[in-house]
Amino acid sequence: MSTTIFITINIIFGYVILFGGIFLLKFFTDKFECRKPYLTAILVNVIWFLIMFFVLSFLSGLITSYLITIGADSDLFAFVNIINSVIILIMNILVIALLIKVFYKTELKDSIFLSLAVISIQVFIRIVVANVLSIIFTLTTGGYSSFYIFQFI
Amino acid sequence: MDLISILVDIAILIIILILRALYTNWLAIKLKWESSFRRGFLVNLAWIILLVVISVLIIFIAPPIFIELSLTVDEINSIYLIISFIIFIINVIIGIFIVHSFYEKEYWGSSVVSIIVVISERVIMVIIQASIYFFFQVLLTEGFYLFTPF
Repeated sequence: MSTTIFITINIIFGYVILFGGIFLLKFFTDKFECRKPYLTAILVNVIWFLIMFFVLSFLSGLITSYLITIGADSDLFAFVNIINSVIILIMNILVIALLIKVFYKTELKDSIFLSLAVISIQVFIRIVVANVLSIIFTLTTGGYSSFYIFQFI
Repeated sequence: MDLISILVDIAILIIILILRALYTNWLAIKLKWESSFRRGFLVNLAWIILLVVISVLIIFIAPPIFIELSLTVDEINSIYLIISFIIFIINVIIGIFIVHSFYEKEYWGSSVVSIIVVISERVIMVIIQASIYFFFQVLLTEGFYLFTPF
């Protein structure tokens, strides 16, 4: 299997996990007794996805093109990439917390907790998927590849 | 591992233990569980001790086995990849059982607390590792918080 297949599988799983957030959100809000129909969870996730896709991709693109313009070395690229991923993660948590606050009428601290729970479980599943893909990749090709920024410490 | 890195490890371990206790306590309160800093501290102490024991066992047991089997560098890297993944999963499972037994609450809540703690810690460790590498050009592969290889 080629690297492209592994990357494609990883991207597909990424989207499945991302929209699996609908079920996670529904589960956690039900547990917190903020019962709302699935439609609300779908709406929160779609708005969140759109914000993430357009705003954050745009910002990441800007940073990358700036680094290319100044001729940054590979170390700086890797460092900025990690910091960028962490900032995106924090922004994700804040955006979904605000959306939960608006749509479910919860307190800010509770919505931050709910958001933290959803995002952490998604990151956990992504780490599991990335590790399994890396192991299969290593065993089949003999090469080494990382599929997710938080996959290894 | 020299004496300085062991001391640095212990200091980092204590700081992490306190931060994890505060964090676990906050998460438990948010889940409307009866919690205190003391309980959070005990949960994390038991959790970290178990994890350190497993990590140290692997650190001391794995290399002689690799030498005995005369494995190549590529094979050792593949095995470490699998071991690190297994340790990651074991870390979460240990966390679930310890949180469950200390707080005596349902498993879904314990899983949530365990996963949030593990993932938050991992994100912070990635930032620290990347910053240390970028600013000091040092790649910490041993002696840093004992769990570095995992």
